[in-house]
Amino acid sequence: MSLDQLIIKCKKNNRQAQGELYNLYAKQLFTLCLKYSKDYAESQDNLQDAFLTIFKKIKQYNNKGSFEGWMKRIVINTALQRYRKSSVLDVIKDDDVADDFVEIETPSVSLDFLLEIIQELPDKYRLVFNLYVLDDFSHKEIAEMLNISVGTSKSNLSRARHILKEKLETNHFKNKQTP
Amino acid sequence: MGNKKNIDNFFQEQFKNFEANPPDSVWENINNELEKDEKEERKIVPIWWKLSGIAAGLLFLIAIGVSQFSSDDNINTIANEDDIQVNKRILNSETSVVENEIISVTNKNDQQLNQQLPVLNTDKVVKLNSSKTAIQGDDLLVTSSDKSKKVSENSILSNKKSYKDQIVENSNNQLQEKSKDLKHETLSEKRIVTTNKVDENTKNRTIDKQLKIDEQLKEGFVVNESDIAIDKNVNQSKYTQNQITKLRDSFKEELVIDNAVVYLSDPNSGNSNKKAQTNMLTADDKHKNKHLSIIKKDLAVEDYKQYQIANNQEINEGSFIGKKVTDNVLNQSQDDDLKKDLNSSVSEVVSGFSNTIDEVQASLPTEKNTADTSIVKSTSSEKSEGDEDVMIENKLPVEQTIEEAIAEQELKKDEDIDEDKEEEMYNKWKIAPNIAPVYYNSLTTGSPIDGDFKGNKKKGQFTTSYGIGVGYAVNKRLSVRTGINQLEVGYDTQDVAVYSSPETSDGPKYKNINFSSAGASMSIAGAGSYSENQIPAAFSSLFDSSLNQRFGYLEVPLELSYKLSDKKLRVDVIAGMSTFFLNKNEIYSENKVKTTYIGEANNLNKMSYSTNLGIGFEYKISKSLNFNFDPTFKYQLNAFSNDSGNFKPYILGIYTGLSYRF
Repeated sequence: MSLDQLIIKCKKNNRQAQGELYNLYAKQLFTLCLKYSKDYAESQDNLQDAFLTIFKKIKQYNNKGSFEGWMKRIVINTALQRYRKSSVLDVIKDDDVADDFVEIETPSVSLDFLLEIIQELPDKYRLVFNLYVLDDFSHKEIAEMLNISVGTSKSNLSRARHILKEKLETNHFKNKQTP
Repeated sequence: MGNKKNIDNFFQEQFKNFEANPPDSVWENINNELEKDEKEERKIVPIWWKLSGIAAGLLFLIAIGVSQFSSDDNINTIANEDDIQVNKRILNSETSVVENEIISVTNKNDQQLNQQLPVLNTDKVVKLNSSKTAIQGDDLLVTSSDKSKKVSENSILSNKKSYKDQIVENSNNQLQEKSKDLKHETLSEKRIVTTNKVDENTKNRTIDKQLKIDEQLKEGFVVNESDIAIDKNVNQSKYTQNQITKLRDSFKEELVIDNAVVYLSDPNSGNSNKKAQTNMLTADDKHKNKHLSIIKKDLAVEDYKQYQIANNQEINEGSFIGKKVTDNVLNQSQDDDLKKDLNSSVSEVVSGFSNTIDEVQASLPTEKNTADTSIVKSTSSEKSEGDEDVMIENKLPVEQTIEEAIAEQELKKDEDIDEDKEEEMYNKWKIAPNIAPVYYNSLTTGSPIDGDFKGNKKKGQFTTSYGIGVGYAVNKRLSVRTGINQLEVGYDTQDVAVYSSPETSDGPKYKNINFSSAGASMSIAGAGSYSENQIPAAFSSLFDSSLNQRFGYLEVPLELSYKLSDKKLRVDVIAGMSTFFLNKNEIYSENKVKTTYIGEANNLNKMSYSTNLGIGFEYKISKSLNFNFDPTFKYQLNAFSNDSGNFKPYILGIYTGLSYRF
């Protein structure tokens, strides 16, 4: 069944089609959840909520733009919802930090580790990092989505980068040292 | 050592092929939720279908009823089969015909005459007039082809005029009343149906409601539609199902609108909260904003809940009661803008209903979320196929009739835009059964029968036209109308002498009349056919009959209607033409004593035309039901092939009826 047919069936609440859609995209979207959430459990919840939202709103999808992108956006929004009202996103306004270029040595690390350190980031930094680096949103868009200023977005990103770099280097160093 | 890389790129590359499998429990949970939702919907949809079916059936009956009143059939209640002919004429309010019917000539030789002559059965007359008039049945002439007749000249004389008038009035009244009654009847039936249905539902609902609220809270969706509608104390007839429906469509979601506070209130509480929230729902033009603010409240509640979760507070449903939630949320909220928003109108924030819920949820109250293009903006003109996922409890305000609700539901498909956009959408079709008192006369003083009668006094008759019209709106102002009407007109030429002669008369024969066999034995003379000297005074009293023409047409009008103004009362200018097909053609001679069928006119064209000019008044009863009142002047162009003296007939009618726009 083509994706279009699947979508049509899902619009009619066809359970089987919904299951197939889930199977097709669950992995990809779960990955997304993992990056945005602070732990595994939260990722699960996010994925669940996101899919329920997708199935409910699929009627509004009228084949404009990529379906995958549409779903991703829902997932991201679901994830962001958790953090919206807490003031965690407000950072004490720093000077606008320019996009700095953070370099690292390319360590050989497992993906699990990378995921771990991302999840360990403070929420505000993690969200911005994900949105900017991994999902290609602009600072302007991020600012709107998270209701922060562009400057805050940039500084959060910078902080995130530095923290990650630190952790990578620490780990790298640790690994080196381990015999 | 040397491989330095931008951290961004590094992460990007690493995560490029990253994939992780979610645990199976995720899909299980999703599935369960979906099942639950479906069950909810299944309960709701059949109820709607049932109600729609009932309402559609009743509406259909009304339509039939209204058109039936314009036709002959309703008379059956009064008539029995033998006298259907009679009753046709009675209820067409042809006064002079009825008048004639009082009298009949009885004569073995006149068997044929009797058959053709309309007859009146006393009983029926009495029935017809029972509520209105005080006609003494015995005084009236009674004949059927089997019965014997009585002539009571005096009583007839004295009753003649009043009887005639009363018949007309009575028939008209009866018709009006009947249609009124029928409407009331059916409407009240519907109301009863509504109430009953609603009552049934209430019982089930309260049980389910608690469960539902729990589920809804879990889902994070604030879904509700209040059952305040059942509370008869709450008059929300202005704030109708229509508005609910429109918003529902707009959001395409179960986020509903009105009475959110009730949801938030303790479901077991009494009416106290319901009163509070009715005050929220006020002016029509602010209802949108109010709704939005309610939705935002809902979102705020949700956030508050999240806040509680985040802060490891127990979610206490009691804390959601009534207005407390707003206060709590406000207090907890660090966002000044939210505070502002909850307290003021929200019109600046989310424009219209064209944003998906996704976007609304994706944005904080003060946020303008426009940057994203990958989310499809759902416009309010989008039509959803089926409402399966709309979780709406089915509650209809008792105040509102099903008719309206269903009319609105049917209109939903065509008219799913909020009222501000009515400019762009309007009902294109209109069906209008109508009935009209009609007056027939001539602009000039000629005679349709013969030039001899030119000088005679003539009298136009009031008769009835009934039919059905269809209109199509070409644009907002201009409509095309057509339809079909059955129209009978009457015209009397007075001061005519009619006398029977045993053999073929040697009096003037009128070429425009095809004489019936009875009529052939009659002679007619108009005073004009003799000079004054020729008529001795003694004989002038002979000219006491009138020649009554009764003819009928099937009319097909074709008119344009241009809307002049459209407030509560819509005014149109109507112009066009009609085509008339002759379907009845009779001439009677009538005097105080008897009425005789003379024959038919042969100078009446089978097909003729008229030019029409009129004004249409339309009073809006409900969204698609209107009352019409269209006085129209129709000037006949070629009714008579042979004018016989400059006869220029016109028809003046006041076309009234109900119309249904869709």
